[in-house]
Amino acid sequence: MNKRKLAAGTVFTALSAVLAIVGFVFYFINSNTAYFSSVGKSAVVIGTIVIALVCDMCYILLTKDSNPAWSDALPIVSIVCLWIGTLSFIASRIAGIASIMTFEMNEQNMADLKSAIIGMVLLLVSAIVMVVGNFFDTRKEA
Amino acid sequence: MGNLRTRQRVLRGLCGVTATVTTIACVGTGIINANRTDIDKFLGTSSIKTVTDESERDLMYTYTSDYTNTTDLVQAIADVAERTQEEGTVLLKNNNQALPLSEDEKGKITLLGFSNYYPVTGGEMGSSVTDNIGTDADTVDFVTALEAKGFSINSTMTDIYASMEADITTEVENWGMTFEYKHVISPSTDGTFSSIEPSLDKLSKANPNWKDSLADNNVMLVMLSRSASENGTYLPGQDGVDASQNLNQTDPLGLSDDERALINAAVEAKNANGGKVIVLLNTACAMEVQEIEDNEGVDAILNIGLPGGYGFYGVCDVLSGEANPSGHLSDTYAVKNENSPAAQNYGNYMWTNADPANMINSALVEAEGIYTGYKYYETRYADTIAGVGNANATVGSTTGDAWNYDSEVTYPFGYGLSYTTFDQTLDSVDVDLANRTVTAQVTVTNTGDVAGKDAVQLYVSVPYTTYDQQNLVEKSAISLLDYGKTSELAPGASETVTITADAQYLASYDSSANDGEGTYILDDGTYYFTVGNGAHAAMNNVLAAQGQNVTGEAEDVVTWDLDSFDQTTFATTKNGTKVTNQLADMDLNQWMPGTVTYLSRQDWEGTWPATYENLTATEEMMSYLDNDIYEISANGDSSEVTFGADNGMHLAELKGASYDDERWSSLMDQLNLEDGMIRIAFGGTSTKPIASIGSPEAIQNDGPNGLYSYPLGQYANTDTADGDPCAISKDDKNFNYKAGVMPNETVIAATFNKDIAREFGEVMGNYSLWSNLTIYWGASANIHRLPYNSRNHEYYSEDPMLSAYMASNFVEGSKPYGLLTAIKHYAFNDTEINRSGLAVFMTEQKAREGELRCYQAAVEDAETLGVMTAYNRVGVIQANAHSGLMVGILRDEWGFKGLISEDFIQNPGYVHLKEAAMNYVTMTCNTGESNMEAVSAVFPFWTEEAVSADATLSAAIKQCMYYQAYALANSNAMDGYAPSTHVESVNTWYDNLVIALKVVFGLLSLLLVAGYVVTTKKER
Repeated sequence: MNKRKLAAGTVFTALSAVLAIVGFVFYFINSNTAYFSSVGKSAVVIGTIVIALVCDMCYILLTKDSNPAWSDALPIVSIVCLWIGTLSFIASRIAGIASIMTFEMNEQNMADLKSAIIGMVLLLVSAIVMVVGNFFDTRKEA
Repeated sequence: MGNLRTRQRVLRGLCGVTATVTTIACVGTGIINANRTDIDKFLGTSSIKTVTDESERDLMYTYTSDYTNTTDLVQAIADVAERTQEEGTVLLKNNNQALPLSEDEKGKITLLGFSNYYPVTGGEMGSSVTDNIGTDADTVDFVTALEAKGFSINSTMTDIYASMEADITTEVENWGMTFEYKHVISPSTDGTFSSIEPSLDKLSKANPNWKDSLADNNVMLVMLSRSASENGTYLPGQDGVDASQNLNQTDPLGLSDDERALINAAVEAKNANGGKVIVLLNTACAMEVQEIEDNEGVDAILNIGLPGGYGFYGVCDVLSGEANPSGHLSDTYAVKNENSPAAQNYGNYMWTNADPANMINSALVEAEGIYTGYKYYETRYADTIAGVGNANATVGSTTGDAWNYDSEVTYPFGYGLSYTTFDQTLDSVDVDLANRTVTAQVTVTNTGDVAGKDAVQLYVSVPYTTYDQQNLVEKSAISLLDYGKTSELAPGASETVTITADAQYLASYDSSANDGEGTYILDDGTYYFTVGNGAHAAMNNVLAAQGQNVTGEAEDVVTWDLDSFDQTTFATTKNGTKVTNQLADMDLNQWMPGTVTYLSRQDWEGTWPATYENLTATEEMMSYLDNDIYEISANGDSSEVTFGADNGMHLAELKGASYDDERWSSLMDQLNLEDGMIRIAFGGTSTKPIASIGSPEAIQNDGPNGLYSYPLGQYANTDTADGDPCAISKDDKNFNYKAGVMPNETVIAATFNKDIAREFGEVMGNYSLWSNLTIYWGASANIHRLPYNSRNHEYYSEDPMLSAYMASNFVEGSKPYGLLTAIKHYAFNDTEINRSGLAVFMTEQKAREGELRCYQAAVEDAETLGVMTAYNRVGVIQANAHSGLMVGILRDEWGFKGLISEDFIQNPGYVHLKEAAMNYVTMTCNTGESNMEAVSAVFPFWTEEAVSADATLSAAIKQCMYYQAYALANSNAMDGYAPSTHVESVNTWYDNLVIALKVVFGLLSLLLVAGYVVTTKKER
């Protein structure tokens, strides 16, 4: 009898999703800080991360022997979206980070910078985890 | 089956990897394009090339260098730096002619204090000294310079300090990065000063017999250092000292017990073994050194400032007598800095309704009025002697008793000694108001037995009248009007120095004149002109001439009487613009009536500044502090502002053209509105090419101690066959040389030698020709409001006229080489505390007679074509958005015609883009891809649709680009350009790499997807 078990691919995908969600939260926190609020929120960042998360969810939920063929594209779409979102996030903060680290280093700005750094690192790790997880199956034979 | 699953996993996984690389490459292209200039700077690559018709090659190069190779160039820079230090080193004390040292004494040097080995040569951040090794002009530290100049150093002490290197290294942690400094460091804007001078106990632990080594090496140099840095500050008094050290240090600029012990150890050794004790002050911030002056065991004190990369050669020459010191202090050395009126308001005074989202943080009320530096000490002294204005009250007194000058000032502004003596005679003074000049003839005679130069300081004491008192116009009892310097005079030789001063600086600004319109006034009464070794000597001369019982030379005073009150002569500026109030809103009382009492000599005690803290901005003030002042709207007839015309012109046709040249109109009509909008919004770190008018990219560079942003070769023309007279080959020995090597600004100012400043401009101008670096934020001229600003090293002086003529001569020296030497930070960046957002308040009289005069001559006389604005607010309005400052004074009154950049403001909300454009700021400082989508993403209001409907704003944008184009046309940025020249984009190696990654990994992705599909079908 086949018994469904949690596969490595599912674990990686879930982990990536969790990291992306937390990173996404930090993106919003950072977007509301005093220093970075004027940069605004990027539709590209928000859109791509949301798509990545939807893909992750679908991919996990569709983990069954008879999953539709198109579902195999989901992790690739997720990976691409995570990278676009992460890099867009970083690009929108580069100038601010450079300015704070050189000309505007003070307690308030450093605090504002912290959420940006955490958010960027989490999203970056999320994308890497997804790339690694993509080497594993999301269903496991028992 | 299992193999297929495995293959499926591998294919899917690899597809994820290749998709990752492809995506990074694709997204990276946008990031690269947005930051291309800075990437090119970092990598030393170029993304553009210029193409010129062969027939026009002889039109390409306008400016010529004084040097034919880089060897001569860098050695000339080193030479100017060394001579600057020789003339800018200030001899403050020289008992029994302890200096210069004899040849025998040069062989007996002991360096006491770790700073001798690890001195502060420039700023930690801002005007940092660039080390040059393996070039034709390598930079040196003190020890290397001493050895090169034939001094022998006590090796025992050298070994001891070398063994303690780890102990005297300060590590600063920032975001996981550790920065190591081997010299004493400047506190951050909210930090305290920590002494790292090793105690005597530590020296003894390192070598118990160290004192024995002083017997034979009994010429002891004790160096005391205070560092300097942008974005740093010293806080007055105990608040600025690390209390946990328990070193009996009452002020960060005062001495610690470890420093005292070191000096006393040297004195004890001298008493036991003979010899000399010489203290070197290695600082740009006036230290509290009364106890060293009083210490009879200390033979000599030299103020060496921050010597840069070659200055220590000059220090050695002064020590040995190869050079005779002729420097004079550019700042007052007070007994207790924190007792000055300005120090009552120096700190972090947050608004009670601060709003970080709008960068509304703190306010600074400069309630001391015009009484900055010596203008306070000398005026109060004069009033004390005259017995008026409660001048001898206890407020501000260091002793707690009645205020007494001798207890307050250790060394006055302008003071300095020489190895010889001079006699100065003020032969004549001719005041010619019609021609706006004051011409003084001063005969200087070397009355000693050593050759030397002497500074001539022309001071004026203007009347302080009933009118002034009634209208709250303040008058300094003594002011430096202008200065000059002799050539080297042999013993017994004389020279008559003629100083032609600008008479407008006799005038005082009266906000109430002309029925409240405001203008400059000259009071009726007697004007006293004099010379002297510093402001105090000059003050005493005037007091003596007025019949007071002081030690002064009344015969060195020339008087001039003005019969009647004059509010017309200087009611218009040199270009004929009427002068009216432009900065009334800088007075906090305009917004919050009755809040501030400004210091007045009418009553020193009753008007002594309170500390203005816990202020609450009113609703009206908040409407300006919220950074949204100009509203873009459909107004005027936009069709009257021509853009995009096809007139077939190129900026190169206007090389060297005057501002009024009629051809400008045709050229600027070719500009596209989009180009103007993008360039103002994304000024970044260069001007970027503008194809529609043929404007080139011009790179921006820091700094006040020399062009140090990029190595000589980074932007140099390496095509030696191009016809460029300043092309250099890639294997040039000086290819990586950086010119951030000059002594700092206080040393330059201390020379009191305009020619030195001019020579500095000349060598930087030459350097710019070889390095292709055109825009130079070099003439940094903010006033030294207090010694506590750790960025004072980048500014000249507490005196506006000393600053003004150093800056203007620096600019003038560089102009013949097409270098755009800009003044900065315009204006009132008087502290680094909360400099982004800080609201600075003062009277218009203080603003105009203080800091603004530091820049005025550079604009009016030297006609600089560059200005960098300040981070701070001017009153409640950010400097770029302040029309009175940017247009009323700078453009209209002074006639400035050049380009303007903001300081490095990156916060889009604080950039004030539309307001800056309305005030003709040609470059704000963000960067991004050169298209409107990128600009509008950062500044949503900045769309072509909205701006094109606003005729006023459109015209301002066009005018901004006109100013910028005019500046570039009169600079060496146009070298290499002819009318046929056009710019072409070229792919750098990293562009090619990204393209290759996209293609290769994109194809791989497709192949992997195909493989995956096939494998999946098989599996199913």
